Amino acid sequence: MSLHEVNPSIKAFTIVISILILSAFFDPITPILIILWTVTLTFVFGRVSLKKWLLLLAPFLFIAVIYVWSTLLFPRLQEGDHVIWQWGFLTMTAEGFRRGVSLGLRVLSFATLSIMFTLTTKPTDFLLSLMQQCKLPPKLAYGIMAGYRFLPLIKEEFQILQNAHRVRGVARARTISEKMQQLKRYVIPLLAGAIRKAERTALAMESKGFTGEKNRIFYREIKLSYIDWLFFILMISAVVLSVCISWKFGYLQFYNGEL
Amino acid sequence: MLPFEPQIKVEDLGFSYEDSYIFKDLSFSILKNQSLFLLGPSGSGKSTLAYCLNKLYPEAVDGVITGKIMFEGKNLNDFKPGELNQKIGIVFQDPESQFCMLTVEEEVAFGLENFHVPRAEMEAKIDRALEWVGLQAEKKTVIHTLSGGQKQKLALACVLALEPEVIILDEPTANLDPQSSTELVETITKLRKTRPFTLIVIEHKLDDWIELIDRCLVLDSTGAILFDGITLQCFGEFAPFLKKEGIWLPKVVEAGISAKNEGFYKGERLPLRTAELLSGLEDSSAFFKKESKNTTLMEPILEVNGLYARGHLKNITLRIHKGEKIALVGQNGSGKTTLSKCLAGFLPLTKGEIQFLGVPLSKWKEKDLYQSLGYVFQNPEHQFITDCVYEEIAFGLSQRAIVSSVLETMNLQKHAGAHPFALSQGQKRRLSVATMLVHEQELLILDEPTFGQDANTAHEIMSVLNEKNGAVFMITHDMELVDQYADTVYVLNEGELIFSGTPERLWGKRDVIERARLKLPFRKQLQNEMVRREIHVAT
Repeated sequence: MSLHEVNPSIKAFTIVISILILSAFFDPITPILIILWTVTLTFVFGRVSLKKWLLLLAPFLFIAVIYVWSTLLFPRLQEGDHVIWQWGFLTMTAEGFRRGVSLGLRVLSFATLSIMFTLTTKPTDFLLSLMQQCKLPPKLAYGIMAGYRFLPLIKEEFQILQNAHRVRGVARARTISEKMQQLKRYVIPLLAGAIRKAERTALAMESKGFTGEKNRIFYREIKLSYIDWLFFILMISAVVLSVCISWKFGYLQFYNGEL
Repeated sequence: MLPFEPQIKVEDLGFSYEDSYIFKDLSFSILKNQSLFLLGPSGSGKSTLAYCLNKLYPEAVDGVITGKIMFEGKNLNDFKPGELNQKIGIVFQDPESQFCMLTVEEEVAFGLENFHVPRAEMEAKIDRALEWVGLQAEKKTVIHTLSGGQKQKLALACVLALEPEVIILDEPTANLDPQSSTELVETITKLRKTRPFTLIVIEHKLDDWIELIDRCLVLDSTGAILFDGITLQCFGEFAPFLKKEGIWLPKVVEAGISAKNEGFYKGERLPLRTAELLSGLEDSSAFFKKESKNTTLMEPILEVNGLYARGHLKNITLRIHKGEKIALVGQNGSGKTTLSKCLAGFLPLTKGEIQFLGVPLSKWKEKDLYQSLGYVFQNPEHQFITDCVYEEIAFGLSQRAIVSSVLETMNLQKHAGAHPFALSQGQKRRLSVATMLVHEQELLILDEPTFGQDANTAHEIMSVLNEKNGAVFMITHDMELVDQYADTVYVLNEGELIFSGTPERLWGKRDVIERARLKLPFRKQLQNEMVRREIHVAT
């Protein structure tokens, strides 16, 4: 069994539901259990490269650290808070610390769940599945697929433009008005190029008889099986279980708009 | 359909876009299984006409179509959306932007899915189509890893899988190296023997196709029909008119015209095959007098020593001398563009060094460097930085006096006030070359300067470059350009330089030509043919 084989639509649905349930609570225990569970699943059943995983996690880790750091150092002081440490205007309270850690872990739990999905799902499979299981209109789905293929091309085009303008002797923009001017010079050819490419692809698709019609016979069927529902049940049970454990130890608390 | 009724019948067809006509009052018909060239200078509406024939236009653009087109006796308007695309297939020019799926089999399946082919039959149809074009082995391959030639074969397979009755090829070889072009034509020739279909070809490089094509339909620059008739008559009698319009001709016909002009071709009409040309030549030796160029090289201006870059270029060493005209050739993906970018200082080197005018490239100040070194990109639009043609040329110049003379050389004086993006394809190309000529750079690097241009523009650009004082370093797939204009030619293969020397020496190296998937220029092919026929040639 592999996470790659789970039906992409069910996988996405499961992740969304899990995140929704998690977002109702605010405590450090639930997310930490979910993080452990998700990471285990990702590496045992997803055969994901550690490097890629870390690379994707890095920005979230950064945000989480910032959360902890700022709630630690600049807590909203309330009557009855337990001060652990004080230095000048900096005050650290036990409540503030808990809030910070909860927020940080919350971010990381959402992140690990999403990364598990991203790294074990091929974009084409996801779109095919959305069309086959969720009745996403083919017009939209194939449009997204074509757009996805364009992204690297646009980056390449941008580099070419930079070089082309350097050769023409356009100096590096320094002031804001120069930068605006430069942006204008880049945007027009980039847009012109992108629109032309998109038109060409659209024309090529139409020339193969694509009309966006909904009842399509797909060459590659994305199937549903018991594994998909097993995955769904396992994930949701894990979330409910962690909530229960947290409640048992008396940490559980409903989310109340803390930031 | 009656036996003699045309398959496609066009009556008074007109197409206008933004209130101006691309063409109007076109009437012609095409018989089943005919094969024809659709020719015309750039901007004459060849592609537009092709897109009208399979109903892609006017739906895809805000154009207005007048007149009518009948396919097998039925008006195009009476076909359901998409229905006609199964009967009339098309292969486009750009291999990059005509696919929407990730792998080869998915792409072929895409067309079949659109026509509700039952899943059980799909696999067999995909296999058969891939076998026809010789891509069976690549069935599961990701499309973007294919070579340009393979991509065009895949595009053809996608069309063939639908078993159409008409196939339109819209400049299918424009992005291919000479060998891949020839292979594509061979594939189509073979296919038509076992499975006939009507073939409409829009092309610049006509030689490979000529045996295959029965008929020519030629448009002039206003979009009117200039000629409609059999291939033999088209090139045999009307070639000089076509040439005047800037339409590319087969090399054999070109040779015939110049031989006739100089009075030593005595054939009744212009030749279509090498054999005809040879039998019509009175004094064949006169034909091969090639102006011997000044071969003494001046001092080097750019020196490359042991260059490695991008993990692709390996141990490249070369010298560019003052005023030298250089061509860089090699198959798709051999690293030509990467090398040219290294020379211009756009890409970092992994190893080795480049000296320009005695100073390492990395030591140059950017502003000074690009006063002496110019680069013309493949897409002219990338280099435009102002809002009007005049300003475009005047940019960075201290003396504006020369602007108008440059405009004149490039035949752009009428468009001095226009926005660069509003120019035609040929004008854009001329303008992008012009912006690089005004600074009198020591070295000008060009990435396929004649790509997609009609014969007239290509010729103008090449003669301007030829008269330029500075050195020219040009990437090209066109062996005729190499033969006519280059002093030195470099052959790049899989990131390594496998040949450097005069074109004449290259033509003698059969192994290099084969390895780098090049071709002999027409002049050389002709010479070899004469040797084979034991006609004595004094060169």
